Amino acid sequence: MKTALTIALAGNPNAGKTTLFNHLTGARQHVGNYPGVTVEQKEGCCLHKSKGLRVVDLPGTYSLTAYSVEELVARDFIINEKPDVVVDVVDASNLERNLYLSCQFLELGVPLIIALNMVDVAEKRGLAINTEELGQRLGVTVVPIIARTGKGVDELLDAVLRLSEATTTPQPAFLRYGSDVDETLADMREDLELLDELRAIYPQRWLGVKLLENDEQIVQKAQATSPEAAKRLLARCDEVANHLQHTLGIYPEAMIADHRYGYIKSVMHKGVVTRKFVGDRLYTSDRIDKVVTHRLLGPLIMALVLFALYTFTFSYSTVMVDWLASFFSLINTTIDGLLPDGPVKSMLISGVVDGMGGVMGFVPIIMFMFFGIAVLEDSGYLARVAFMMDRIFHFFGLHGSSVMPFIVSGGIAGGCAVPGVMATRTLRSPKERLATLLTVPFMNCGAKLPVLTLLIGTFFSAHQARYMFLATLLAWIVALCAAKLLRMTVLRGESTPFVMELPPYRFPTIKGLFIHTWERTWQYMKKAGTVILGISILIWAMMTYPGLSDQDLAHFDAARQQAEKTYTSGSEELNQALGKIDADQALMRLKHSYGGRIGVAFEQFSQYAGIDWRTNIALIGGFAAKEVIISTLGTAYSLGEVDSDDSTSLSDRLAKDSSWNPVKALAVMVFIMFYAPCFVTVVCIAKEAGSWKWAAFSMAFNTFFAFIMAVGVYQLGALIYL
Amino acid sequence: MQQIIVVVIVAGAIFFLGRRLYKTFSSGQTPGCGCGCSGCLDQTQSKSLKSPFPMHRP
Repeated sequence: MKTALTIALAGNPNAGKTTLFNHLTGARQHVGNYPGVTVEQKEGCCLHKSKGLRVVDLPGTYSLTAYSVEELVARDFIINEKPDVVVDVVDASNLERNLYLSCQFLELGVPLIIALNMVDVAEKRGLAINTEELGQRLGVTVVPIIARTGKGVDELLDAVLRLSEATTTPQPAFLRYGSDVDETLADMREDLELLDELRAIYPQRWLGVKLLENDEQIVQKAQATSPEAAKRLLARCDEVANHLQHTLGIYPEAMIADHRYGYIKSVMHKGVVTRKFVGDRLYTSDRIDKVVTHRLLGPLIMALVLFALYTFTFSYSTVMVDWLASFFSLINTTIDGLLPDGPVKSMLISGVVDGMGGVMGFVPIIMFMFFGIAVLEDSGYLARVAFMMDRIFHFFGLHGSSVMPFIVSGGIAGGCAVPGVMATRTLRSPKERLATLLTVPFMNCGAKLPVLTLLIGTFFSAHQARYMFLATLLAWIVALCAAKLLRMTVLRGESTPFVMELPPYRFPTIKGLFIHTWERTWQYMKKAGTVILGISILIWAMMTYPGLSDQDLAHFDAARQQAEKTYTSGSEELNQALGKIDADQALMRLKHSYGGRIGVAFEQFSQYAGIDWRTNIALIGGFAAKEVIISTLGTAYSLGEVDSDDSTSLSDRLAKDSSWNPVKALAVMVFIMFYAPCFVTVVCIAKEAGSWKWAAFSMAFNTFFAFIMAVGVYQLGALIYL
Repeated sequence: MQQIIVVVIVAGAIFFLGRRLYKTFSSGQTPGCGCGCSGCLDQTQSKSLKSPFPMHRP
């Protein structure tokens, strides 16, 4: 059987690799209009002219030097896996900068095809590119494409097949890097020849260039292959570095980069690129950015956008939330009418419908929020938010690359800490990475969103958007202060500089918005219907069993008989007395259950933050997944009622409960926002940090921090308002 | 009878959650960027996946 051809999609961040990958493979990988979406390679397959093609989407990189994880992942794949063809996806509207990476592929001597993407955008910007001429000068095939629409993709695949069938092997391009560097490379030749194992994998001159660029991986490999030769090579590199520093004030890597750009300029001159407009013309994106990322106006606009998003979410989702509440209430009534009293009925009503149904009830809010976030993301505004936050991040000792993990984790309420934790892979400094890993769970993820919405909607219903906005602001402030605290204590060290590329603004497509909204909403619904449902059933069992002892039951029966003797049959007094006995029995049964006992045990501490034993059970359940807080509260308040099939919503039950008030709600909200991350996030932190010590630290540090804050809010609020 | 049904359902929930817990711990790799705490998007293919992919005509 013939093996499928392997095509690697490489290119700069935001050049359209994932869009091309999705078009080729029919996948729906997440495409972000900002750099750093793909940190690891993704695979898919497609057919072209009866040939099977294995397509690998590599992370976006600017170079092939091992400066970041993305660059290392991309380079290792190309070197180790030796794909049949490397398709370098080049953004035609930023040709010069994108060709820098192409130049390095040429130096490496890989079978290369350039996919000149977004030629439509380039045309709008007044750029006309002669692809044939460009291809001839570079010595590779250049195919103009529009990955978004699929235009030119067939021609690209034709070129891939042609190159894969070619009999000649591509040779590494020979670039000149200036007399000093070139002389050094010549001097290094003898020692480079001693690195046999490395020369079998990499071109010899390329190895020399990487040593001069101080590429950590190549330096280590050289030292492992031949320590003596490596010592001499590194000494020669140091010598030329000192010389260049002394004479020109630059390092060899800057000199090499300058000459690569010089080569690109020489390729592009005379007829390859024709500009219809003057070179320094401000494009629409730049014009918008002048205002949107302005030092003073920018943050103001950002706050307004966030507030508008929350207002939109809460204004338009209310009707649908009410419909869903009525729907679940109808289900409760139906179950109550169909089934006889007993544990199955109790489980379905209090465990499934009041538990999992409570989480499902927030689907409309989640959907509206995700739609708003998709608009911000697809338009390119989210990248501006990251850009503006970058300035603030340095003050708090974090790297600019930390911004994206924070946003992904719920910088705008509705993200998820798991991909946020993954996104920290782009950080090179271990201390900055750990500080980011440990603080991203402070953001308001999509699972906390319904819990916050429930409490805000119940106790601050007149100002829902305002309170959600304040919750977002508080999450950022606390996360950054915690990061600063960590960077000043256990993770002390300098913050490293970062340059961020701003992608152009784009009009989001309706299809794209709906796909993004649906994917995230579906994830939420799937979780509610699987994990949350399972946990709800277990928590219902924990809150139902072992039940009251015979002695306790006898006590309540005796109280009922006493009431019947004391009051006249059918009187209002008797009904009230019996109702009170029933309520006391339900409450005692709940308190006596396994879950209730745990809740009561924690109450001796949690009472300082105004948190009662029933909420304690929910908070412990919230460690499994934050949505469980809602389902557990739903079950706890349903089981504590005399009529568990009563169609009152959880929000109404909390509002009626005398132990709840706005101050307690605020303290609970603060605790939920900042206490231990959910179980899956903790596992991810352990895996990413490489140690369970940091995962345990995250749980202990966050819970302690949250408790102190909740106690502060409750005690201060009680002094002022209660 | 109702108690038996409840025991079966609770046992099913324990099995489902236990299996999920085991998968979370036992998987050598952390989930990719297309994944959240509820799992990964259906279309996400991890690099370790060796089974043949459904072919797609672009």
